[in-house]
Amino acid sequence: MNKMDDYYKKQLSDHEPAEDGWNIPSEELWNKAQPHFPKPKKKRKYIFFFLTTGLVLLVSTYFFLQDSLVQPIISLDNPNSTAQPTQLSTDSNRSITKSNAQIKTEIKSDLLPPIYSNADGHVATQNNKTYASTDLETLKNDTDSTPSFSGTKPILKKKEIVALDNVTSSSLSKIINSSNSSNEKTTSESNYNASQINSGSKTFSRELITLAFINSIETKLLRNNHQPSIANINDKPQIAPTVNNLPFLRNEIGIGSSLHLLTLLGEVENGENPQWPDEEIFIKAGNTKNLNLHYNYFLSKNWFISTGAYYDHLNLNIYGDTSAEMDQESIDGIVKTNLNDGVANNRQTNEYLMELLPGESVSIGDTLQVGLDVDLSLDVYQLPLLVNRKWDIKRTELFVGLGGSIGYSVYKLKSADIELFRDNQLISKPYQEGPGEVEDVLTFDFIFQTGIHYNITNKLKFGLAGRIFMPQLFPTGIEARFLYKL
Amino acid sequence: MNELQHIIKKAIQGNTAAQRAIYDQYATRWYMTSLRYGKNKMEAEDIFQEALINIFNRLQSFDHNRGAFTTWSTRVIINSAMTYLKKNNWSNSMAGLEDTYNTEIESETVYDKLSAKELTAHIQRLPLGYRLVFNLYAIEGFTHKEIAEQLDISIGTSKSQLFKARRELQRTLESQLTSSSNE
Repeated sequence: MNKMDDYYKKQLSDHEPAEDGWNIPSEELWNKAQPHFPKPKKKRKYIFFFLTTGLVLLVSTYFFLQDSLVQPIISLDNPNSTAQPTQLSTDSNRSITKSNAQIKTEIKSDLLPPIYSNADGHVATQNNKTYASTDLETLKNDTDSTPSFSGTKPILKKKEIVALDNVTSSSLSKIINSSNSSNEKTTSESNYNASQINSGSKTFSRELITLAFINSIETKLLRNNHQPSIANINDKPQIAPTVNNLPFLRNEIGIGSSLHLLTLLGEVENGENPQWPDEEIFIKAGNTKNLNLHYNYFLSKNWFISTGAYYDHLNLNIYGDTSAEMDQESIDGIVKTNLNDGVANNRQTNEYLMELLPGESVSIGDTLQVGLDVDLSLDVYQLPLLVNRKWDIKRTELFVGLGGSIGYSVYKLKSADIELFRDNQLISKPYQEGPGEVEDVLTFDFIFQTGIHYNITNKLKFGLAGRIFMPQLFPTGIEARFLYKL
Repeated sequence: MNELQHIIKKAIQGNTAAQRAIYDQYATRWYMTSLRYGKNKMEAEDIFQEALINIFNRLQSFDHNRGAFTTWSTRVIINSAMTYLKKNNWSNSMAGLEDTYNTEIESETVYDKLSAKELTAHIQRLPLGYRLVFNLYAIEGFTHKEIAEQLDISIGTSKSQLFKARRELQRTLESQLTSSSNE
């Protein structure tokens, strides 16, 4: 390097702004470049939530479909509903497509007494089951007996038949007629049936009508009591597993883990100030750990008490900027002033007061920007007690609970960086607090919870529960849990 | 964590006040560097603007354990200048450079009367190849090997360009001193 190099280097090493401003970039350059600078990252951790929800929906749908395969639901409330066929499947993978009314009519036909006779003196039903004529005679002569045909099981008890006798003939006729009118297979046989009812022996007609009505009742009973599936009524009866059939178990234990609301939100904005358009406070929850142990005791079928132990760990990073117009109180609360009067000294009891840089001062009415970057961790242990009400919908349980918890919380301040700005210029010495500051408190929170459980098996449940804690809001969140009946 | 590191951390997080604080602290230095690499103010401002964007978007790659922030940011400006110049008028200016080497001529002239503004103008008036090599060698302290790698030229070419730059600057200086003494 020669003297000329040295000369240039030395002369150009002074980077102080020149008086004529030749080496000061225009503000326009900043304004053009600034929009391309990094922006505050608004981390929204919804992905985990959506994944969890999606998984739950997937699992629920799977079990729901499984349930549907073995327990077809046929609506008999609207016998005229024939527009949409119902797809039914049996365990043997047999698939039958029938309209509701069609199915109903076939069942009626199956159980109705013979409509016409064969040449050998036997009578035949529409599904080719045959019965001896003597059976009919017995039936005609014994109105108190319970009708029973081969291939079918006893339907109702004698007492219930008597009760049915009180039903008026006209209402029963309506049932028969509506059944026939909805039957796509209506033929001369059914016309014959109708003529028999209208013009034949009144006693016999009454039996027919009674049987038809009984059959109708049975169909409803089949549905309500989950008796043999209609789809395979001619096969070996199948019992669809339902919650209602299970024995009542009082004790339930479980384990779960929560997704905290803070984690879901990712940030909390602190409003906007036109003077500071980027004014924001972010609260990031990271490294969250949670474990909930559950014990439920069922007081009755629909009421249960839940207790257990909850453990939460959160790392919170609170950072961002906010601004404040200084009044005397805020100056005393934030800034370590150099006033020597006794009042000011007495005010300076807050160890977090900011020390201003030399030459800087703060006056009432100044708008200062406060930059924060605080890391802290929380460990919370809770013993909850809630009273819950639940409602069963097939395999699913909805529940709502109210209660409280006693908690022990440990706050650890890991680091705290705070500084004051005025017109984008730093005016305070950065306040920095290292790790080690610990505070523990006993807390009491009210808890409201609601959620849904799904009975995967007779004893195992999977569920989602949303819980709100007050006044300590941070454990609020959504929990995924497994429960096991004892 | 010192104050600068703290502000850099804020700037990385997108804190506008922190970004502005860094800018206010270093803008003059960065701008002066940009002025030396551009052939005029307009080109220098383009370089400066691109350099600003690169600096703030690459702040997270700054490691205070590996060097000072000024060194790092100046390097980013130089790289930005290279990218800009390569994109615009690099090929024409760098083509046909003579791969010859002449011994240096040391000047004993006293130049104390010249200001940084005038010296910067001198550098700006140099042809691109001279300007880059002189800036990198004389001001930034690069070696000829580093310059050769940076500009994708031979070491001999780098030395040649430096010699010619010095000679050109010396002529300019002497001419300016002569004219000012005549006045």
